[in-house]
Amino acid sequence: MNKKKLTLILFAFLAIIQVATPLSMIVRRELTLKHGRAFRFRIAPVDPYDAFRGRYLMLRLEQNLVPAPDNIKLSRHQKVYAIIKEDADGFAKFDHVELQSPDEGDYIEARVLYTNIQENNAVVLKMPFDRYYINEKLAPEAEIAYQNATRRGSKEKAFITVYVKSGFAVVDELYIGDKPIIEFIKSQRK
Amino acid sequence: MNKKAIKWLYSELPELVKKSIITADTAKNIKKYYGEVSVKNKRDVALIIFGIIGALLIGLGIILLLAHNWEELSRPVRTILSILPLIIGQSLAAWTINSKSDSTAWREGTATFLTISIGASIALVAQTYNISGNPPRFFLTWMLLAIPLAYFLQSCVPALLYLIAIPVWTATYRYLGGNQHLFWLLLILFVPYYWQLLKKNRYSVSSTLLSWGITICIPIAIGISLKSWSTELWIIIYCSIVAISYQVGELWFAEAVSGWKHPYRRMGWMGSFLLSLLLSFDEVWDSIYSSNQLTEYFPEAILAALTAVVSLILFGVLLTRKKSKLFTMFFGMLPILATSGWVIARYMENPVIPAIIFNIYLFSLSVVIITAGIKEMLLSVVNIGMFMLSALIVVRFFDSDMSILARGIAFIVIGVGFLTANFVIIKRKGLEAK
Repeated sequence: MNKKKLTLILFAFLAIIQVATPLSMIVRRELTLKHGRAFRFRIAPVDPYDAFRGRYLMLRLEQNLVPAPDNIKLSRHQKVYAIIKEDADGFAKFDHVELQSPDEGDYIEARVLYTNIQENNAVVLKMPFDRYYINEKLAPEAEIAYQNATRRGSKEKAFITVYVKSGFAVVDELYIGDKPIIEFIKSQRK
Repeated sequence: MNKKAIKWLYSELPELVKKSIITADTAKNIKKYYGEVSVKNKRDVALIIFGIIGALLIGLGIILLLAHNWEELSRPVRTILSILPLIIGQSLAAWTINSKSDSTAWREGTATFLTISIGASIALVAQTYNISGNPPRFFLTWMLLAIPLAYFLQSCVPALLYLIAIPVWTATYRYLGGNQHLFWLLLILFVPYYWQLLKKNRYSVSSTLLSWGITICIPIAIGISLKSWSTELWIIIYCSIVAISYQVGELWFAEAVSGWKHPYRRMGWMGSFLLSLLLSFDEVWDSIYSSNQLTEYFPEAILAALTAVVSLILFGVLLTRKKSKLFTMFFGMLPILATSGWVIARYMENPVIPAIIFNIYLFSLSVVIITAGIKEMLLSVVNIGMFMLSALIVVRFFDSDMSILARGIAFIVIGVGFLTANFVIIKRKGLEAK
């Protein structure tokens, strides 16, 4: 086999790996969207200057602190499993964090962002979702709609739907009131 | 042998044969001995540069086009669109390997395009699925998928981008709580390609670019990967690598023709100047003896010892090989002075002596450079020496309690010195020209 052929064959392997990387990212998320369970998380009011960066909206969950077990000390960047429970209105909340992945029930794998000093045994988590990407033309309108919706006491509440499967979470849609954000913006225009 | 000299020699050969100074056979043998000088003509070089820039622009354009985020497109369509540039880049690369492998422009161009496509494709998937921003992971995936292109396409652009990206990755990774020493593991992936380029021609444009990359990347990476700066072991480490940089340049890259092809030597010069200027402050040394137990900084201590020993070995080799030993001495002394300064500051608790040592060091180095410049009648060298000297004097005036009058006089003296040296040399050069 000549050198050129060998290079081409090896390059083909590299090309497969290069394509497989984004593909595997896609497949894992599609599977979660298809087979995972959907949860609705309320979004917290955001600092207006932080809400919009480039072409995405920063997502921050309304629930800031998650209780941690009493007997363990968590450190920054540590991997934890946040157990999800739904409240009476059908919105999701984190019940507590665990160190081992639970055998049953729904949970999200996350990292500890801060350990809370005032309230012992509660942590702030870095969620695997913190952005909602949006078309650059719609972005300014979306920003205003999003800010109004997340303002305390506002009529239309904002929430996101997240599909969860085996600790893996994929953001599906950002809702304001009961409409997806794009539809909401379009309905506001009329 | 440098290429320019061989080219000159070849141009002289017909004349020498014609005047029967050498025979036609000898001329042939000379050509056989030195081999073909491959002279890339200007058109080729322009083609390579335009190839790279063109690929960069198109690649970045595609990223922006897709980043517009077309909400009308369904997820499957977006998926195809995000993989498409990657497939196009790969097909071009495969075609280049197969039928254009002797064209540098094609190799560099397709490698550049494919490198960007990999990043674009991952970023677009992240956009479609609202994946949270995790810069270290994104960078690492991108770089690991792109660095093989340097080998497959024999292209220096992916290697150069890799060298830029891995310190950035290390810094963000460390910030998020990761192990910064992984940098060295990543660097290993680059080394064989660089080595192979050097073996082929250490003075080629690609080799030189990557040499610059390495000389800039390593000091930054050491800075990022030091566990702590508080033992002041960085003084020994940095003095040693600056010396090593100069010594490597002298030992293995001495025949480069133009200045920019001396990355190792230039970084050595620049580093030694900046370091000795910094170390001429006693505040720097003052912080040493208050610091912690040495055992707490074990990896740094090994690195300090290792770099100092390597530099000493190279110093020894240079002493036996070089005729002019003046600058060899200056650079060889740097790690020794740094180590003794460190010992004095730490164990004798005296920060003033090391600072004085480095004041004297920088002062004598600049004086030696100035005299060398005057001897060789090189204005640029004189001015570099003058610049180093003035920098030393300026910083000394800001931290000493000298009177304003004394400072004023000193500045005037330096200024006059500057002008006189320049004037004398220009005048002498003018006389010589006549």
